[in-house]
Amino acid sequence: MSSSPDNYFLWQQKRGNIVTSIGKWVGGDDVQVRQYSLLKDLFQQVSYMQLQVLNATGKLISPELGRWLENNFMVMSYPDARIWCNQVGAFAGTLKTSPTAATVAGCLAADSRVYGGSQTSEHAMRFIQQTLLKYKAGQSIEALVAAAPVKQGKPAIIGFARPVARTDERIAPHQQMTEALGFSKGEHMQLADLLAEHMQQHYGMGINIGGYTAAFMSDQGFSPEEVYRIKNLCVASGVTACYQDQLTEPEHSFLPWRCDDIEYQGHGPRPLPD
Amino acid sequence: MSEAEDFGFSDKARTRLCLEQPSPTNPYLTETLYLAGYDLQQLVQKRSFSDTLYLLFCHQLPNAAQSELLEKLMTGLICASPRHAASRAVMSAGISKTNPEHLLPIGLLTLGGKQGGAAEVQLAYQFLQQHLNTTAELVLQQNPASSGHQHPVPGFGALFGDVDPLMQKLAEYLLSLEGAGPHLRFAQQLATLMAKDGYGLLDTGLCAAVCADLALGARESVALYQLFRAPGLIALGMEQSHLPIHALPLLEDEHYVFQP
Repeated sequence: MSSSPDNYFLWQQKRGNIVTSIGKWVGGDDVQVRQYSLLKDLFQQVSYMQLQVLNATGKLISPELGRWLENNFMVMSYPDARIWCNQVGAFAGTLKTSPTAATVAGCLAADSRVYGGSQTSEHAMRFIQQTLLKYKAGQSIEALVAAAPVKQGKPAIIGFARPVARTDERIAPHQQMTEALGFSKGEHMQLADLLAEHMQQHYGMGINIGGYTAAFMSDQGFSPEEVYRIKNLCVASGVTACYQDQLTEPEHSFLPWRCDDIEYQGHGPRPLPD
Repeated sequence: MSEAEDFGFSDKARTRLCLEQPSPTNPYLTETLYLAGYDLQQLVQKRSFSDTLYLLFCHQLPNAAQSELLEKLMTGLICASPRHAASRAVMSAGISKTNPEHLLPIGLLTLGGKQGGAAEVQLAYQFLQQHLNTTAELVLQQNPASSGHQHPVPGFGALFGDVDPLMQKLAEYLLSLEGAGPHLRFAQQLATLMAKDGYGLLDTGLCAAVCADLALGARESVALYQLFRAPGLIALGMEQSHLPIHALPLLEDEHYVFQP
């Protein structure tokens, strides 16, 4: 196909222009955030979490949902340097990396398919939303669980069980919070309850915070992609704590390994061919 | 964390790559480092950077043809256009006086995407592997190029609405090398068929094809693509960091259209 200006018309249109609905800074005057004035409509009137969700999704959520998410963030980020993303923060601390780099690196580490609360929420929401459709179409809980891939003899369902503990200590407080803030159980949460009961009874695996959050946020009308964007920094606080804990420590002093603390399984020493 | 239950975590890290012979007087210091069995000191003296890079991932040294193919790919991808999104990101950071140590990570993170970024390399690698035993014609029938997508299949597509001539020329040169293998040949056949619709081999697809020919691994090819692109990103960012902040355009209000 020969090239013509029609081929690059799109880029020509966008060259030197930004057209957007997310907002605009009017220097010295105000800032628009979507259809709201930041200083007149939002400042001192909504929480930071409400603003965060507005920026991530375009939705101005209720104060109650903002509170729910803020509390949810609190339990996604523990100051315990054994957790993988927090280790990153701690290692960065021993090298006196900048606090921003350390925290961003830790958050990036938690952008994982197995833990972290952001990408895992996306996967868990996809699962619960697709599973609800199948359940409504008539599939039984047994059949839905049986269809899941099996790992180590147990169904590998995102949102159930954890890599390091059988019971998630965050579920009961979340259930209490959800009720206290006035949220009723939607159809995703009702399905999650049924799945949790089945998984607990047959495999000793309970729902984890990812599964619970996925069901709750699905009931609130969010898409998996939206929740990924909302929660992408949810481990930041614990990473920063572990970073600062190591800042004053000597270089390489966080969980140091001796040479023989690593098991070598490769080729033995060999001459370099010419 | 439960201490009573065994979740299968190992009590020791393992590697097939690095053997560290400790110092006789300090078990934390490495006296000699072997990479896949070869003494680093000897590698430094006798082998190139790209040969040693290949060793890290394949645990064997490349033959002459493989070495040349990797070296030429690395040179070909060493600097993306200053108009590339990752270059623009690192240039924006450089001009705005971001800490110099952040410039490369900023560029590489931006470059990580599934659409024209590093994550697409893995998809392209897997696509090429899956279709290698079919014909390019059949692949095109199953993945019509005129579907309106910029990337009708991973690693292949249009750049600014047309075939990317730079990548086309690089692919043709790499194909002329002895080390070029079936993935690169198949990729080029597919690109040739797609050209009539304005699609061609993208940098991600080219990197994937060469990495597959070198058996560097699908997941590994993601990070290698970032590595290959890294020198140009650093250079572009650093160049801007030496300039005053107003040396890059900042859009005026009349060109910022807010449509709530």
